[in-house]
Amino acid sequence: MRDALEFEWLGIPSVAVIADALTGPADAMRALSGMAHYPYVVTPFPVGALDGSGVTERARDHVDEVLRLLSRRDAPTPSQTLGDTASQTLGDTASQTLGDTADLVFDNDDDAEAAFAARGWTDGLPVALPTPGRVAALLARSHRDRDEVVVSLPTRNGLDATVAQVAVNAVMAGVEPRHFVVVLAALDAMADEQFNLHAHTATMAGAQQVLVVRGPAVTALGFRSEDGALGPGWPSNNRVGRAVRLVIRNLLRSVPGEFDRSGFSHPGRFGWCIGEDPRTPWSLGEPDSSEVLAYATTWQASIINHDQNAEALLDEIGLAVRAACHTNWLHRAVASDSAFYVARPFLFVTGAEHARVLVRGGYRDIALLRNAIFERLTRDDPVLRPVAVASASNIHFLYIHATGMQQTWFFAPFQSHALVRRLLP
Amino acid sequence: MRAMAPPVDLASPVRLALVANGKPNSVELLDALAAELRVRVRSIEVRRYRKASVSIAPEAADVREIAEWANAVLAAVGD
Repeated sequence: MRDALEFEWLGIPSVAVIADALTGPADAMRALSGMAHYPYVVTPFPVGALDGSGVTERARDHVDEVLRLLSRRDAPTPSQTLGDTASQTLGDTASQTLGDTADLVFDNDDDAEAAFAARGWTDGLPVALPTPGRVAALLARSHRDRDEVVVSLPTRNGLDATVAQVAVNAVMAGVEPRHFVVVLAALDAMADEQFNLHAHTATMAGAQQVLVVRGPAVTALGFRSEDGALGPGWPSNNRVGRAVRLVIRNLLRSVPGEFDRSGFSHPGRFGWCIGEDPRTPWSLGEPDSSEVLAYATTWQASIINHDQNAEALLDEIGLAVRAACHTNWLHRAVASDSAFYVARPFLFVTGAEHARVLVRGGYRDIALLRNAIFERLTRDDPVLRPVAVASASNIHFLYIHATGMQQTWFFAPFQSHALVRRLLP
Repeated sequence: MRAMAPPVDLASPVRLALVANGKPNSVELLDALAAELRVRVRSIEVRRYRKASVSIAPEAADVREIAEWANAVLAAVGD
């Protein structure tokens, strides 16, 4: 849709073909682009699964509509008319979202709840009241101009997030003032075009945005990196993760009916922030620097295996990940034809027991470990296709000091993104 | 609100840019549509473009060429 709009703005009549499953985000995009009436051709989802004759038949079904939209530019189509109501609603919401943050602070719960409901805000859980004092306390720790834009997505023109608006949402998530710099750094990372935030907050795959905090800040700011680190119960992790997701939902409008077209969605979308444990044998960065890493994942695979032999354990991890990638369209036959392929990261989260086995088996050197996994993911196999990972250096290991169960998780990447990191001040 | 571009005059030569976004079957669907359009439009010339990824904008050089040459664009596929 965006490509067609861009050419339309250059004065060239343009037509986009959009699957019926994606009319919601398409309508949101045309509304925010100032062309709420822009018509497009709607085709049944999925096009990607059609065979040759199916593609030909689909073209015959749509060619007259293409001609009509190119040559007659005044008559609304059924899809256009249906889209108008949604577009108007979105336009109103966007306008409210961009309002001065004075409209976003409250001194009582009832007013706040009513205002947030009117804007389509929050994630379904109760929020902390963004009072002027609480918002000011966060802003005081940022040392940044309150009106500075932190995130702005080209595909959602008119929707962005300023430091002050982020502070409001961080208060709502329960973020302490000392953690606000982590929220801002995470959003700085997510604003990098290589992170491709629009795509994985809109996709039908329902991708999740995972933050990793690493370095001295893990201990200093109380981020959980031990047993239970991937789940609930840890205010630093859970609130920072939630603040980022509230920004994505409330300010960038990744909600159903607007820019979120996920089918299943995922509980990780309440927020997902993990600390790298300082005892890691394979750190994700330099030991003396604190930083936050942003990663986008679509699904996870757990490998529980009690083998004490490192080679056998690596074989099992490779088999599990390779089988999952084979069945989930993350193999080279379908997922290597993209500009993001060379940068696509693959994240493994490894607990204490598997790390012990691997280190004892000679894999303290991260380069050796990466090569061992890469070889198992891509070597010839009579059944399983090679995983769509470009090189060994794209493989990353996050260590959490999770004890007892011998377990590793594979976080399957959203295909079109790169791992992005930002230093903490 | 932004205005739409003027309509294409199908009685005059049509110079159509096909912009495939890289989704599976995007190229195939555009080629099939172009084949059908050739049957219906008296004078039509087609050039094909393909983005490196669905998630990024078309190459600047491609945009310039399309802006200079084309009088119609067909983009696919949001899928």
